[in-house]
Amino acid sequence: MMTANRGHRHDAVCYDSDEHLLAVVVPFLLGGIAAGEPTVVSLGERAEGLVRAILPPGDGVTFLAGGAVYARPASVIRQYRNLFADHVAAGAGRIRIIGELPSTAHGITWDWWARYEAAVNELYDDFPVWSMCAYDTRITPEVVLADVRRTHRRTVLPGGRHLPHPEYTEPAAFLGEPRRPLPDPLQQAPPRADLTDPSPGRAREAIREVHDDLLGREALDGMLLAVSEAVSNAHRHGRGPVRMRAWTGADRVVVSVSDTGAGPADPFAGLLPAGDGTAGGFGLWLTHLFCDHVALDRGRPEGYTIRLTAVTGNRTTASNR
Amino acid sequence: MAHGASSPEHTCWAYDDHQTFVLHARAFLHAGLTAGEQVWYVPGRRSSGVTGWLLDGAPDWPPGAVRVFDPQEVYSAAGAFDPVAQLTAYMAATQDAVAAGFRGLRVVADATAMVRTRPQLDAFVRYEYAIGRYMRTAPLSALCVYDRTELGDRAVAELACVHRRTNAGHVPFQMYPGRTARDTVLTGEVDGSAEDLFATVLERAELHPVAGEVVVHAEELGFITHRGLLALQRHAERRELTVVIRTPLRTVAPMVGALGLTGIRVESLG
Repeated sequence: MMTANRGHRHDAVCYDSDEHLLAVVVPFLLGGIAAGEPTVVSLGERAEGLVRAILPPGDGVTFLAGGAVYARPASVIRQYRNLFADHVAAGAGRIRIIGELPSTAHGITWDWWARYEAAVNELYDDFPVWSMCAYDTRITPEVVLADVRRTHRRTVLPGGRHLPHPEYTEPAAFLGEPRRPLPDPLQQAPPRADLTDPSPGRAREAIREVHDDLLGREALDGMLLAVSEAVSNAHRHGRGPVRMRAWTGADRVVVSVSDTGAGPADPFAGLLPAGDGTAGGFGLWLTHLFCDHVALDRGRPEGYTIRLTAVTGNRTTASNR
Repeated sequence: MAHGASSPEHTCWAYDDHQTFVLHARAFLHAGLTAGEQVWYVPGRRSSGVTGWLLDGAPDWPPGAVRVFDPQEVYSAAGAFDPVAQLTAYMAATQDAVAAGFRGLRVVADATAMVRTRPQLDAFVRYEYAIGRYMRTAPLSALCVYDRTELGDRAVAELACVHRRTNAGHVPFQMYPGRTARDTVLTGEVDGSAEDLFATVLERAELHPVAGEVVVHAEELGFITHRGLLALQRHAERRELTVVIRTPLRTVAPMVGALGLTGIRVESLG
């Protein structure tokens, strides 16, 4: 619930035409400008072009490149929380933001974006934020739209009307549900490496052996860190045996680490750092910052699996994501 | 100061097998004698198989080239071990060797008896690090010998990882002196199994800042966790300095930024 100085209002905009999108977004932005509120747009290139063409020049709206912002959920959360904190420190009473995930987020990586959409209801609630998340219903799969309705309290319609979502599910409950990520097609082939109870060092060695110079230095270093943390966590917090498997394809390396435990108890695990890092809680978050996709398969009787993906040629440093 | 014909080195030799040690020690000493260095041998309880060989061959070398010591002459048995006094003694011995016309001093010393307790180990590792720094620029080489069967793997790891070279397997990383007291060299991998060892070694290294900075040369470091970086941050906070880490690892700068480790400055290489 939004109060004077905090509270995240998190709305969806499910549009089926450019006119529909603009009929919602433009009044939202103009309202922000009129109220003197920091107003941020993070849309794809085409939608941003439509908005820019309508807004008056020099209006003070901040445009962020949506494709670059929405690279990884943990980095978006970090970046937006820093942005919100800066605005609040500068005296902002409320911040408005409209964003749209790239359509590539609607496929095999949707599970972590669904987690993002659920989590930010709570994770941005420290700040006075009104956000709108745009989804083009012409190209968005129904399974994604179903999650959108469960992770946003309402859809905003043209003319200032709202459509409440009775399916809305509180973040902790949504995140705590067993969620089976889509399998990566590479996993249909035998793994290039298949280790039982490896040490973190042995796991890193196996990744170095199988990646075939596929990954650049940055992607490889990130994957080595992620694998090491996943194996360490499985040994430290999970239940044996720990199994690590790795697959390689033309454009990516996929690694799964399984144990027979229940996985992290914290439903928000990986999206924010927990504690001060000395007693654990940072490793899974760093994994989310360094990998191109992290899928958590938990809540199943056979145990817990974390799947890590590094994509070649898709790198920006974690520090500026 | 003249430098030895061979590159000065500081090597840790942890032995289970006495015979393997004997062969290696003989080769190390012979190389020094061939290079015109003075050699010292300080045997331990189990590492005595070199003395006879060395003394039998002494007439083949210039007078004074071979010296075999009773351990108590080199490492005083009375009172607590004094790292500074020991360092000073070896510096003087090196200078004496050069003054006597040798190209340097080469030492094989079994120091097992010096590290039997935790306080002894702590003091001796500090000394090992400090003498290693001296060896970076002076014509002194040493093979530091430890009986693993007596000391155990952990103590051996603490000793081995401050040497530039070691035969001790399973030492995850090495942190040995750079060319100045500001610089240290970090190689290998600092992961979950090594974080405690890393924090321990970091404190013993006693780096001296210049303009408020110490430099970790991590050009050949293969891996480090965020907890390894947190150890560097704690070191920076306690000593009120900045740790500069030079590394090609692409994860280090993002981790330092994400964790807000303001005591660390990353120089990314490559």
